[in-house]
Amino acid sequence: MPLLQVTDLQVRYGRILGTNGISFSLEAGESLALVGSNGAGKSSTLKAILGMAEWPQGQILLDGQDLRGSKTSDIVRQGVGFSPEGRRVFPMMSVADNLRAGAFTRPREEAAERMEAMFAYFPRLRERAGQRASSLSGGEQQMLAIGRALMSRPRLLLLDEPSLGLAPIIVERIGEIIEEVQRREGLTFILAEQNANWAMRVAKRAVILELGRSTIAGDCATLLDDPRVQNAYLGL
Amino acid sequence: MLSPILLGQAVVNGISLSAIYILVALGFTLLFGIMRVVNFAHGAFAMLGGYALYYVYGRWGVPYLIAAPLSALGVALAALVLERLVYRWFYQKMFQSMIGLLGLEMAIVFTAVIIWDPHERSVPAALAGIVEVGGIIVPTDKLVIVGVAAVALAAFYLFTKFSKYGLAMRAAAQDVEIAAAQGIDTTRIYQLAFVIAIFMAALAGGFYAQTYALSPLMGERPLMMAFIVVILGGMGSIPGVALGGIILGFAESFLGTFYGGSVAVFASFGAVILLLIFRPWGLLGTPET
Repeated sequence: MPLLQVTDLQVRYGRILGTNGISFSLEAGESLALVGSNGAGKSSTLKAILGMAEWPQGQILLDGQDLRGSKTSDIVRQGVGFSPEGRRVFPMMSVADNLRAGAFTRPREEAAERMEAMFAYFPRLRERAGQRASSLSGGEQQMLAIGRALMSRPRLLLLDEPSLGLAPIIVERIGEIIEEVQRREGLTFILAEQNANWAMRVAKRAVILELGRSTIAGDCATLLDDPRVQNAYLGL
Repeated sequence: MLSPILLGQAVVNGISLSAIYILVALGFTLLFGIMRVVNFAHGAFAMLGGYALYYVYGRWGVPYLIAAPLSALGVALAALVLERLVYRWFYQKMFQSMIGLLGLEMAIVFTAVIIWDPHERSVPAALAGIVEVGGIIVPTDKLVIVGVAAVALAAFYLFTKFSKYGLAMRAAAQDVEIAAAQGIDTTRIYQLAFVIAIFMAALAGGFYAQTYALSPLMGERPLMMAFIVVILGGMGSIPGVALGGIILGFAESFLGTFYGGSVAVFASFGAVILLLIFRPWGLLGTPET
């Protein structure tokens, strides 16, 4: 049974369609890039999985269990972590408190242990543990957002545009850290990205979204050589 | 006229007024900071706190140090019904909340008029007698009020700063959607913040009823004071409440002692008007972006 199965998903914001027919599935331990231009439905798909957006049609199964009607906090308790678009760290809280908030669903001792693990992945966060999150640079805030999402040791991590607005060298560094976490913890993740080239090097498989639909899917290695993908998304 | 005794007296009064103002304004600013509702019914809960204390302490004779928190807690828990029926519809809707909760204030106040009639009653003092320190006369009653208020404020500080649910409350105040994405049940956190806010208002209302008088219409002044304190300090800012409460409490006590009560009120409102012109986000608030 796949960890996550999304079938013919339609997300709506009032009368506006966010997605219109997205399907993919993900086994535990896998990594998937959701690639597409602005407005293709990447964020809408992630928000639907988290119960943050209305999806009148389609099906989302987590461990075979239908997520329709579930509250965001309950979905997160089932092991889904989220690093949102635009980072959205809690600006007035310290770095350490941001991380602690990420471990809200876990016992206190585990939170302390996870925080040490996050400081090992992101040494800059240790240096800035007592500082307000709003005082961090964009790259540091992105690391904090990912660290916060990892605090609960999620079975499925959803990353929404982690490369947005960051210098290429920092984007590469974040990719390395995601790969390292996957190696060590067997993390399963979905990476929603406009930066197709980067996302398809970090994840193993990819689904390409166009105008709210999933069009092409396959192994990243294959897709990177596919002329349709090269033309539209890789700028080759 | 600047005798040390008179000054000392004004300081003591200032501390006790500040304690009441901080309590009542803290609940007000919590509801605004976390749920974005402007609680125009805040005074009504202060009034209910006054009546609760009147019965639990005044009539049934429960010892004061138990009666004060117990009656405030009773009001706060009963208010959860209103949270479910009324408040929940206004969360994150600032302007609608003003009108809706003004209506709720009237409904509660005039229900109270029907039940208790509009006449003033008095809540007996916690302790009769006075303490004299170097010529300064301090009613023991006031010491008890300041003590209980200080304990409540310290407990609140420790709770928000060090407890898991306090952390969740701070997170929800800053970004409610992302707080939910940490597994925080924001409906429950809102209820918790609501109970804390109404508890503070009801506790302050009890003190207020003891200091002045108890009547269904007594809530108007605490509401106004909460409003001034919160505007002074900055809407939604907790350190701002502490600062605003101290400024207002001391200003009222000093100006009242030396120039009379009406000057004190005039100066308080005048300060707020000036602040709204030159620094509308308050002393410690942040400008809206």
